[in-house]
Amino acid sequence: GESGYAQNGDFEDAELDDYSFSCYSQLEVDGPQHLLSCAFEDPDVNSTNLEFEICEGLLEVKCLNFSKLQETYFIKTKKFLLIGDSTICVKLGGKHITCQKMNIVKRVKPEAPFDVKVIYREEANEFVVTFNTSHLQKKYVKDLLHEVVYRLEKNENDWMHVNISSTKLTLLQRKLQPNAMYEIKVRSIPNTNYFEGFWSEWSPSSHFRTPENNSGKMD
Amino acid sequence: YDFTDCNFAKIEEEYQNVIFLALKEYMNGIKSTQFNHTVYCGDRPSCLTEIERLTFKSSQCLSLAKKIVTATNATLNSHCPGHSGIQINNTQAMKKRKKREVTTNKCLTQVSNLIELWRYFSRSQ
Repeated sequence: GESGYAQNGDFEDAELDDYSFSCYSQLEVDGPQHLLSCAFEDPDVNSTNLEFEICEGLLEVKCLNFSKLQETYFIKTKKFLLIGDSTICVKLGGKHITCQKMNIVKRVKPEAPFDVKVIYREEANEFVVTFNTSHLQKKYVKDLLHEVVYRLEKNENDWMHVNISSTKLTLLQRKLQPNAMYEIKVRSIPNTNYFEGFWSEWSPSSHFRTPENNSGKMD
Repeated sequence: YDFTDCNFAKIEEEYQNVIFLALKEYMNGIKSTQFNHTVYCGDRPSCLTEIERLTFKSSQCLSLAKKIVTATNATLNSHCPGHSGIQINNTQAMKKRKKREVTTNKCLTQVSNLIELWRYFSRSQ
């Protein structure tokens, strides 16, 4: 049906529309505060009077209401129990239109890595790549898998991929083209049985130039 | 309640990732080894029996941290068939707790005993 709801305010049409939504969580995103963000799958949904609510799997309260920022609904709180399922519902005029049962710890989207640095070690003919992640200081989601991708800047989609669980990687000079400009970036995903979820956003890219055959120069 | 049929692997996961952190957070840097422990359990079902008793039924510490109580309640209810655990009455209990939420020495002793029991649980495969 056409997105939106009936003019005279009754909810029949509203219930026919597709209000499916997806959510992701970011734990300890602001000190001990967690963040849960939800959005409708269909960007054309008329979300003017629609609200989100989460119940169960909470500390000290039965339910919490989401705030809204443009088309994203979010909650920032310390009250997630992090055990068991919660039920998240879309409400229109206080009436539940659609609900989903989901476990917040299985929908974790890590914060993007940052500070990607590439250092050329001439004495070892290698490039040492390091980066940082805020998750090293967290209590809950500490173990991440990082995907490092790098490419020759002139080769649009020819990315090389390396998956690591540490924040340091070595690229051998002989495996790279000489005297060429490379781009490199990193993203992360939870890497435990308990906390699972999605890839983070990509880190900002870093760029480095490989030396001609014998001497090295950083850009 | 007989804890024999619980899903111990799931409980272990929730203990390692959530409950242990709540217990540790409560101790606030005080080493649980500073307390002489008066608890023991030999296998997983008996450990859960002792953990349930000490978490929900002990009168030693009246204001055990809400996160410890709610998390333990949630994990036992989720993974022990037929276990209904305790009803956490949010509003009423929360007001009472707020007034008396003081980390007393009795509560530290109780939580350090809980840490010991959970360790026995975690070690007994």
